[in-house]
Amino acid sequence: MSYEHSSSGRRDGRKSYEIRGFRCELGYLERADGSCKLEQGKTQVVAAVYGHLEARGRTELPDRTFIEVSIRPCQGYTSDYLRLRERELEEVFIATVATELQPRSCVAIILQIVENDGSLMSAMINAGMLALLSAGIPCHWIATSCTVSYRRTEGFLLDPILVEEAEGYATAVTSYSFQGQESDPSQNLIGLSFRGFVCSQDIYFQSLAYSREACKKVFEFIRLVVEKSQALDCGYAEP
Amino acid sequence: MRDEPLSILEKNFALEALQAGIRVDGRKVDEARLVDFEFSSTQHGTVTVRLGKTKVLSSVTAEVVEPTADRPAEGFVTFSVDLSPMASEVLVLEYLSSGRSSSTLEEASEIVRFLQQLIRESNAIDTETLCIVAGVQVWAIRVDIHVLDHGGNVLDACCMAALASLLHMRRPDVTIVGNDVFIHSIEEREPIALTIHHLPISVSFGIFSDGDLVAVDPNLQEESVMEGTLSIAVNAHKEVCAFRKAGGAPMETTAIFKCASSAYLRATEVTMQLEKALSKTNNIAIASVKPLEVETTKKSFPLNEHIEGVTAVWKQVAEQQTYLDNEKLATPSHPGVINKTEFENSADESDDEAFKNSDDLLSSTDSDEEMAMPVIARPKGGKGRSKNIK
Repeated sequence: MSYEHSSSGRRDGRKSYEIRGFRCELGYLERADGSCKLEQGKTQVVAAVYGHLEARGRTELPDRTFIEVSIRPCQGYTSDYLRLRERELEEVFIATVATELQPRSCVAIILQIVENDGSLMSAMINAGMLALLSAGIPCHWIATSCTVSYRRTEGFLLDPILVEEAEGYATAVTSYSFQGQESDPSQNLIGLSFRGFVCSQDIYFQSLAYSREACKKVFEFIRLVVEKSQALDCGYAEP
Repeated sequence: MRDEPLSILEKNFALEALQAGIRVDGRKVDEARLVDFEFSSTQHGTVTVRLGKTKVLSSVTAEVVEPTADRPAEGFVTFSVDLSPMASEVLVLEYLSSGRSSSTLEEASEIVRFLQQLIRESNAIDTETLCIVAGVQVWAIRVDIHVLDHGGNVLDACCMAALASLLHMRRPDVTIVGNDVFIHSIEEREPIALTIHHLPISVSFGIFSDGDLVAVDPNLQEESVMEGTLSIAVNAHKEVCAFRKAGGAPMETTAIFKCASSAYLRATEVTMQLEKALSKTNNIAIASVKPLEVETTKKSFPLNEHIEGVTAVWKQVAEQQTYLDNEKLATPSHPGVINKTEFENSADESDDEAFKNSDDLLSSTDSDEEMAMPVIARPKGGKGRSKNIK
């Protein structure tokens, strides 16, 4: 079951199932408990996590931690469209963070969009996850995400850039969970957000399988980043 | 804004150190922190400024709008400052409890007001050159500033960021043929810079001990004990462009004059840094302009309804500019950064069921391979973190 996009290649020479390279800086901010600056191609997101803060009023839940997500766009104020995306991200992070461990507390995840060149939601989920790890918030699993852009007849593209997203008929943001060293569970889909419609059932299920493999790559990248940062921490002598 | 979470001991220590003529971070009383400008390699007009630990992101966009009736031949420059909840715990807690408190909004609007004085009212940017067709179309330049990390002296950082991003900004080129206005996209014609007449640099001073002590560029700890603030904006021609002393402890006039001279020195230093950082970006083409033959331009605004179907035939061969890779751009000069990694991830198509791709990943981390570059991973901010500004 090999998959090939239509004969026309992508603008940056990637194949339809290839995702862009990553670049990440953990601990980018001083004051935030955890932070990260993530670049996926030209898409840049800065994520900050303030972890396990005092909960007051609406943020105080008796049985679990309250997760608050805030998306700040590069220009202007958070629009209604972004407020809906905030709710979607909250769903992913509420499932990911081990909220049952610390009730009556609050975790705030703030995402600053620096540049948007496609796959923004996925970049935000990945950046948010790295920031959570940087802050040391206990989580059930590592959440990773990949965006799929569907074409009417030619199939799909993974990790589309902005023009590719605009050309597509539908866009899906798929998030998968990974944990442990040798993780390859059969069912680890934790988030699926759809815009538009997909004609073919085959293409849809195929795209889910491919995006899962892409997310596995993201997971490996995240693990590498954390391992490297741990090595740095151990290497420093305390003043 | 609520009190920063600093202990009384820390605050007293900062004050006592100042009274002894030294500062908690080792600077002299008249020494400001190092500033670093990081321009975006992919987007004109986006810059991240680091002033010590304070980080500010600024982004400039341009839009074509109708001018106001009283100033038909001038464009607009608007500023927006966002004290993002990611900047400090205090801001996050405020954001969570009440959305946004009035003191935060007040502080943001004070910065906006100062920016307006600094850049608009001092004529640093020429709004007349932003006019396309008088009375019909002008450019509206919008500067969005986001404070990412509050490490003290946010005002200076915002001002520097605004100025740097305006200098870096490129707006689309416009041609007027008869009564038609053609706005070229960046692929057609290289975008052009804004007209900036001078570079006003803001320098802030903290006032301590009831007006006796003045220290330039206060950091977070010092801001918690300061009794007032003085901001002077000077340009390289020794001209004071903006001045702000809003309440706070009184200062002697001689002290103010001394601060003004000190501000001039700092302004020349920052101007040099800024120009150096900008010249590095000028060598790199952001939008590559390819040789082309254009039949009609992308957008046209016909002013006169009777003129129909005008097609401008441009035959131009623009110079081909080379595209420098991001890798070559961002050479790590920061100590404490081990290495950078960029991953090219791909799924192997040959195996249909087993996508055994972890081998690709492992092989790409070999130091022999050209493509492999390690990850920038820094330990969590605070202890053990090496300074990333030389």
